[in-house]
Amino acid sequence: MATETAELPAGPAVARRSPGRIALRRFLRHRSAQVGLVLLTAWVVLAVFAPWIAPYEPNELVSRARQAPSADHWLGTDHLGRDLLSRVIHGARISLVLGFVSVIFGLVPGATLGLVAGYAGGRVDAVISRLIDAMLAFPSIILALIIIATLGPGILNVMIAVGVASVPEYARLMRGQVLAARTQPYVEAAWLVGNDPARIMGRHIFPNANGPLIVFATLQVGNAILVGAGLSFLGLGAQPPTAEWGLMSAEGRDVLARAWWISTFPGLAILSVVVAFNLVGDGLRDAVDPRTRPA
Amino acid sequence: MGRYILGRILQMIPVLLLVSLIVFGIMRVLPGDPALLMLQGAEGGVTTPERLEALRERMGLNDPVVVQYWTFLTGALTGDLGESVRFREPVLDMVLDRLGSTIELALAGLVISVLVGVPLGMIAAMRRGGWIDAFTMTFSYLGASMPVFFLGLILIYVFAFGMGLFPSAGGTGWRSLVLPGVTLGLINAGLIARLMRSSMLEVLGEDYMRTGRAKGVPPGLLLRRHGIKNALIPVVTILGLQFGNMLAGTVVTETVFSRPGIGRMIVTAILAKDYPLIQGAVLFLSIIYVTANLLVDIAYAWLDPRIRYGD
Repeated sequence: MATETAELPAGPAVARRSPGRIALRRFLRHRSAQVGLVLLTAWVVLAVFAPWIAPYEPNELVSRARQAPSADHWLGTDHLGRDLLSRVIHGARISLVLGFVSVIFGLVPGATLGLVAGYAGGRVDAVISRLIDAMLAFPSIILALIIIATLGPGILNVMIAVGVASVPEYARLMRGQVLAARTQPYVEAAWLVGNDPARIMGRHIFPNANGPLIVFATLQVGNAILVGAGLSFLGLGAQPPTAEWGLMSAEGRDVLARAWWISTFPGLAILSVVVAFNLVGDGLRDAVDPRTRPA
Repeated sequence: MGRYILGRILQMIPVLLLVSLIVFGIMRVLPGDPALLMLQGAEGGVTTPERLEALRERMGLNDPVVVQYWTFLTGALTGDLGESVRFREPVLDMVLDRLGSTIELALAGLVISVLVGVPLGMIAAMRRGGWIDAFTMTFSYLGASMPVFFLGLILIYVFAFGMGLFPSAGGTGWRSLVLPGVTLGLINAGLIARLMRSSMLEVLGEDYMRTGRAKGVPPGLLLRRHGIKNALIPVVTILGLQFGNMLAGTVVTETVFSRPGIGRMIVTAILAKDYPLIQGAVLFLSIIYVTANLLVDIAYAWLDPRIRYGD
């Protein structure tokens, strides 16, 4: 009695080869994405465990002002005598939170607007598209400045400003994705079997159109950190004595000739975090859509 | 070409109207009384009900919103952007005083970014995989991730404090423009280099280039006549965007180098809650930005005839 077991060696393999898994594997093999991930993980660990890792409290006066880097204070002390290493480590918390929160403030309304505009079409699309055009008529930092002018300086307001300033870009991207997805057979099928528009948008269009959105959002985290630090440097974001990298760089500006380290290490910290997000974002982009890989 | 330009100018009108509406909206969505906020900002909280009422009247805050917008719009069209609360000077005069310095800086940045980015991207494409290529990609990565103020401070430390070649702040003449211009230019050169590289790679693989090579056209001539011009098209399209980046970049750069420009003025105005000044300056910058984009579209249509006959 020959029992014929259905030998389907392709079975499990097929299951493992879902588009998401393929993309994930491609992402993890991506050389620059690996570098970015390592760098990013290091910063996240520093941020999360800052109180335990940092040798001093960020606002504690520990030594004389403007001491050059030494064995006691690896990155030196700032213009008031606070330990710069501790402040840079604590600064990671603010910058990472700023990056992620601003992206959420931009992504959620932006993607929703784009989804609605692309799906509804007609007059709704026309109104939303004109609004997007008008917002894109401002360079995004000017838009951010307008919002800060309205809300007043402060780190939370910077997050809102940087987020809202990126809304039109998310909306435009999402709208384009939805327009492309709308004509796909699966959307027609979902409509024909009687799904309501909200369900079609949420369950069918959005999951199929969000790849480029995730990539853009990742790159945008780095950009938000950059813009946020710039605004703090100008005095419009974090206020003293907060350990924020942009503000710390600004505090070192007046004593740059005598104490280069005060501005330099926070600047390097921003640079490395933003590089990390850009590397990861580029890796994600290549993994999600290998066609966009630069030649 | 004339019809295309006219069409593009007409398209600018609704965009500018919406821009003016957004800028006008700054003061109206404020929680609380803008006049009170301004007096607190300008006079450190020392104020009387009479002064408050006088300012409200002077700014037209007692009128209905529609009337206020109409006054703002017609004022802006006739060059009246109101008066700075803090400096008691017409906003337009203050903006015009600083406009030259800002445009000078943005143009210097643009020129430097093109002069650095285009050749770098071109050579990287032609020597693909070599060390110049690797350098270009690294350079473009750092440019995209570098805080403008940080690069500015590095340049000040090395070239002003270290070598004493250029002034670290303020000053007049071309020497004072070098470090801020290089700061802005280098930050943006990476993007141009990257774009030029991929565009050049694409062009090098085109049929017309292969035909040219097969016919025996000298490589240098082929590159000049057919290669570079076509590869430049995508670069030109983003120049408008780049000019916007430059204008935006001036906000930080002017502060780092203590240059008297519109960007720095906007920051000071925000800190002082000088709303008429913020409104006027932002409106002005936006108009410049929209106009720059228009000029770029026209240049694009000139370079690539398919655009102007397209629709």
